[in-house]
Amino acid sequence: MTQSKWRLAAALLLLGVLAAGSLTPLSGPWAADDEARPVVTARANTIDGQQVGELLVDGQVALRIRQAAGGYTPEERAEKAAQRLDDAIAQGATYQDITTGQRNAQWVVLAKDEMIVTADSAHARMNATTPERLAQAWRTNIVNALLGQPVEPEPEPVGPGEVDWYESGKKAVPILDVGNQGIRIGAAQVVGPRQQVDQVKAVAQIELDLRHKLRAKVYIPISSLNITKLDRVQGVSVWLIGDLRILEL
Amino acid sequence: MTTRNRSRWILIVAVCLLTAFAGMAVAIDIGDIFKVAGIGYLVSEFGPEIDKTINKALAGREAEAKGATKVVPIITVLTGGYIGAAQVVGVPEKVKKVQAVAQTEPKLGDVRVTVLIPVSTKTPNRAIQRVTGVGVSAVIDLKIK
Repeated sequence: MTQSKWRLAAALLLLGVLAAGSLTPLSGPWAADDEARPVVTARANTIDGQQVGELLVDGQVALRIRQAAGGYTPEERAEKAAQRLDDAIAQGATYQDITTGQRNAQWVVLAKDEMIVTADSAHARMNATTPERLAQAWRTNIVNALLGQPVEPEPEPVGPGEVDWYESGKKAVPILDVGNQGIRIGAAQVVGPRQQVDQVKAVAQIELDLRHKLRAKVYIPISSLNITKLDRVQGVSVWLIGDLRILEL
Repeated sequence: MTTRNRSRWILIVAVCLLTAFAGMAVAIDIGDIFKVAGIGYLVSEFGPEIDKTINKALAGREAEAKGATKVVPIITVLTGGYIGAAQVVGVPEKVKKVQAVAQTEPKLGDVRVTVLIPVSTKTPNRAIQRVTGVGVSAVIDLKIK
């Protein structure tokens, strides 16, 4: 190789090193943190004709707020939640710091013990769940979004096949004896999610014979006073049974 | 010998004595076990079978509960004594925690009220540890002829 070729090779190598150096990110905590830091934003959206507020992490919808609360619209609530989450992340919060807890007797999502969003009871009712479970679902969504994993922005509403047995309502209803043409034999108090409890009209009592030795009185919360077809209300159960004394001795 | 094995032997001896004194051979059935060994044994040995029977009967009427079920003893709040059995129903992970149903009967004038509370302990006279998310589906007792 001639001397001019060596110089050309050295110059190309130098240029390559310089070019590679210009593409390498600057080292240091701020630069690295900024690059790794999730981008938290909020936006308004319309779904099924309803105005909703959405909280996004790196462009992915982590929360969808459908209910106004505390004097704020859904969009404003999403903005406030996004701002709080962004502030928490700026102060070093990671997905491990996202938790749930209670503030002023309400279930909330927290980041480093600072409130992000309230899982209000109206929103929970809309999803046929409890505020506690709604907060847990939102917390899971935020954690997944921060980890770059897919999220389900709205907790699945509880359908007939998936029951939320957590109680939030109580109601007294008559007990109807199925074996005796539905005669009223007492009263029961049922408990369960308010939406389901509201549907209960009576408790049907069925007496089952177990091997001719044992007797099981089964209590079935039903949505009508018709005992020919038992229309069970799922997610509701009996916790108090009352009957009148027939004889006073 | 473990406590469980000892209980089995006591049960077998007791039932044998029962049949011997009766002076005739009788089949050992669930009613005898209930009388001799008590509710605790009945629930531990036959709880799953009773649970399945109740669920099957309700499924036949299209009235079965969507959720986990389990049969546990009913115990009185004051004495902690076993007075029957109950089927509880609810969230699967919560149903697992239920050890018994605590029963109390407060007086409300002429109305007799029975309160049934699923609890996570078999000795509720100390402190009732209620299990939320679970309710009572059925009350099981000995059939009186």
